[in-house]
Amino acid sequence: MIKLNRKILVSMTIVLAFSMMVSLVPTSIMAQEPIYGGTLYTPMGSDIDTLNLFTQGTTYSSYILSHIYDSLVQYDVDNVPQPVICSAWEDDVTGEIWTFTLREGIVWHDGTPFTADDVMFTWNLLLNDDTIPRRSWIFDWIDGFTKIDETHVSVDFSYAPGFSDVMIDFATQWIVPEHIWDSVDVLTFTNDAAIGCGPFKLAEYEPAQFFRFEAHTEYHLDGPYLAEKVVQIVRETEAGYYALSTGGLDVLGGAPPDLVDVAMVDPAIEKHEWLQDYWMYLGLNQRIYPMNIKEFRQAVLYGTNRSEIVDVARYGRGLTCPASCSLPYGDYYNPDVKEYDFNVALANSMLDDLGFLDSIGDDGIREDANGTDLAFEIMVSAEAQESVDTASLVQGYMADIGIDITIKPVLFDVLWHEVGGDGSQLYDYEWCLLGWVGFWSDIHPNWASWLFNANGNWGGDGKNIPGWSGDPRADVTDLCEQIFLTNDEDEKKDLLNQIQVIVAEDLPYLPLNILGGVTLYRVDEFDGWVMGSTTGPDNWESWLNIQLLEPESSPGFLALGAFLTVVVVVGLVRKRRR
Amino acid sequence: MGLWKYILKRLIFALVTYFVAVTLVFFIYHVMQGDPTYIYSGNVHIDEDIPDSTRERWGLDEPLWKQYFIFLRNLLQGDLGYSFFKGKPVMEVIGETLPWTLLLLGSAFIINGILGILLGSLVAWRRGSKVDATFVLTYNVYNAFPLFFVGMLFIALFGYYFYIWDFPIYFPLLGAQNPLSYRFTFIQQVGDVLWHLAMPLTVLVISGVLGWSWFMRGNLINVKTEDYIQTARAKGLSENQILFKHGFRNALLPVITSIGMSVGGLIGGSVLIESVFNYPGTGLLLLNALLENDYNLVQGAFIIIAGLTLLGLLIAEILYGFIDPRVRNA
Repeated sequence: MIKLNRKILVSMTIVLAFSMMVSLVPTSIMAQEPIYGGTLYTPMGSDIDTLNLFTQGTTYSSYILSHIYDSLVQYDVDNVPQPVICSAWEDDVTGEIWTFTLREGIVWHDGTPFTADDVMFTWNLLLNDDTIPRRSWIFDWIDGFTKIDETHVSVDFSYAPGFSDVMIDFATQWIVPEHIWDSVDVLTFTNDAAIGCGPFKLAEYEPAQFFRFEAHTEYHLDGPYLAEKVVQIVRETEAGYYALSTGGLDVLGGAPPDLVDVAMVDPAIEKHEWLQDYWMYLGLNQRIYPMNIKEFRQAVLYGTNRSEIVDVARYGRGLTCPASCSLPYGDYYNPDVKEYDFNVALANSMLDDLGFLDSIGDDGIREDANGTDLAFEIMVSAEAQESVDTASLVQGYMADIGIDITIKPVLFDVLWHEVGGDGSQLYDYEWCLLGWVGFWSDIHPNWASWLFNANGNWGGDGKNIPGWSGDPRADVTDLCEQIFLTNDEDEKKDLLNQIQVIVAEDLPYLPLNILGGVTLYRVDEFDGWVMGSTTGPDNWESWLNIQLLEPESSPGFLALGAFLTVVVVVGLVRKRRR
Repeated sequence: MGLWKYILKRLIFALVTYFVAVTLVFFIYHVMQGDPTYIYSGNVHIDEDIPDSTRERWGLDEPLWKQYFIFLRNLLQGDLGYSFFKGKPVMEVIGETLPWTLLLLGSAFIINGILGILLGSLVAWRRGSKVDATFVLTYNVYNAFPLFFVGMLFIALFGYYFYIWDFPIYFPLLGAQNPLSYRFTFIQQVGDVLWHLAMPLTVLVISGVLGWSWFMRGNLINVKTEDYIQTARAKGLSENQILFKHGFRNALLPVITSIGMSVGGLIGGSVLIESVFNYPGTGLLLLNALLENDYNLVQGAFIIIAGLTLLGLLIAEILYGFIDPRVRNA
């Protein structure tokens, strides 16, 4: 009996010790099962304004909320719409009614089941209150919604919208839980304990310090495999770099080139370069002579070394921007438009042809037909050193073609007001250096309309920052209206091709460069980063995909305990045998 | 003039100053370019009428004079208004950050005061000694570096290089607490907060101690040349008795005023320090509110900062009048 007990004791001990030791072996060696656990640390440049997704106004708030809330559709890193809350969509023969099939089994973070009523509630909220700040323009073109059954909802548009209109401007709206939002004032609710159905639950928010999220374990898609995600607010890039190097952060964007070079020495850190939907331009106020002359604008663009601007003022990040004001990729890009390669001789010759010669004195500055020096002031945001540097470069290029430039750095708010960006209609500037962000010309056919349409917001007479006018503007407006009316993708592309040709020829804006981003990320703890040519590693797909390289090591005392157990038991047995 | 009359006079003067300061902040900030709805106006995907409807909802379409009187009326009722972006009462928003600022600045204030006065007295009393020379050199060198730069230097050295060089201790780089501190015991959480406080506090203390010591040193050196010090010495009093009974107390008077005035400067410095160390204080909140044109929050933060500064000054002046009756009749 004693013998049997001893055998059992020894066997059990060895099995126990073995299993404890095995638990320390990397799972990746044993099987290709997902590895759950770990805390991902990502940075954010400033604190949020609010967690109310209907009133928030900053990219920081959007970033935080995108952890918590899901939409019917999410664009992936390749800019292709992927179903998230819905599993499918279809439109009817008229193209005006779109039906979405909802996934089953979705659960809110507080455990309440997600229903079609939540979708209807969110949509009706946006439809019925046109003072909600985050309300998409497309809700002005919706007649109503129908809940077909528990898994199908449909939208009745007042026109047949294009695919991108529906996907980008409608289906990416976050959905909120009716049981929380139906009893609050949408415009003043602070939503401090935000409940969504996204991949992460908000666990803790320390203002101006960090957000801590826990994985939504009942999430309806694969992942997240992380146990927690911390978003640390980091204002100083240098401090962020130190944190990245010491493992306090897993990702860092916006590091200056010197720090990127230093980081690349560390084998645990890699970099990803990507392009932003953000392009800088010279705005020549065409309400003023001679900026209203097309050939003058063309000469200025020929005389501007845009590659050097990218290399010097932007540290080689980004690209020169096509004269068509389109991003140089995506389905709607037309590469066959007029190009303006740097050519000082051609620029000088064009100015000569316009009769702008240096005939008074010999100061190297040309005069216009009225005998007035071609001397202009560039207004630029003093808060962006890269923009001031760009203006300095432009100043040098213009000196080479006989145009005298004075740089006037001002606060961005002042600049925006003077150029009429806020609707002031002042237009009190000669040249300005500004940028446009988020027109999505690579994925949305309405981009040109938003920018140029004389009946629209930015292209309309109430704004129209550069004061573009004449037949080209009227032609582009007409083409924009046609894009809005057609549902034929090929026809949309053809119309956009025509617009880009006109724009590149007439130059309402003088595009300079597309901004590029560099993101550093650690590769010694997590695997499975997802990135794209326009997206860094810290994105929704990465959050769902990344996993620990190895399981979180069990506390060292377990291994020690296992070892000691074996030693003690074997010792006892041997002693008893003796 | 009696003490109470003197206090009343200083109080009225402080209130008038406060009113002027608050009025100036209101008007200067409102006539500057930009308004809070700019954060919506640049987005091409949201309804173009949103900035106007938002402006209307926030009362920004009202004439400026009307906005001012509404602001004054609310202020007199103790209501600092709502932060546009946080969607919360300004007091609540400031209340989230004020404890961290009070912890940082309060600690710095007390340490600065005690160490500054003691160190100033020491180097003044030993004027010309090696200690004094070292102090003067340190003061001048340290003042040549902006607070911002010193902060970055501390982060690089004590947070980054100490880690890289495998030093047994290194300091946290970000924030005022570990994001995973919810796993800690209470004692560990307190230790964690103090650990995060160490670097920003040290930078503030070094700067503050040197400044106040310099001031105290100058005062005490002047006092040392006074006749009554010579008299005390002639009477055969010990150097310590002369220092503490006669020199120290007289040299301290201007320092008291200076301490009151330094509250504002300390808060100003905290904006930089909080920014560099990502410390979640009111200075940083004010900076963000300024950038976002969150008028109510800026005004609210300013009202509290200006109030604290004037209160410090008022207390100092009252103390001064109490300690030195001649001031009441000046």
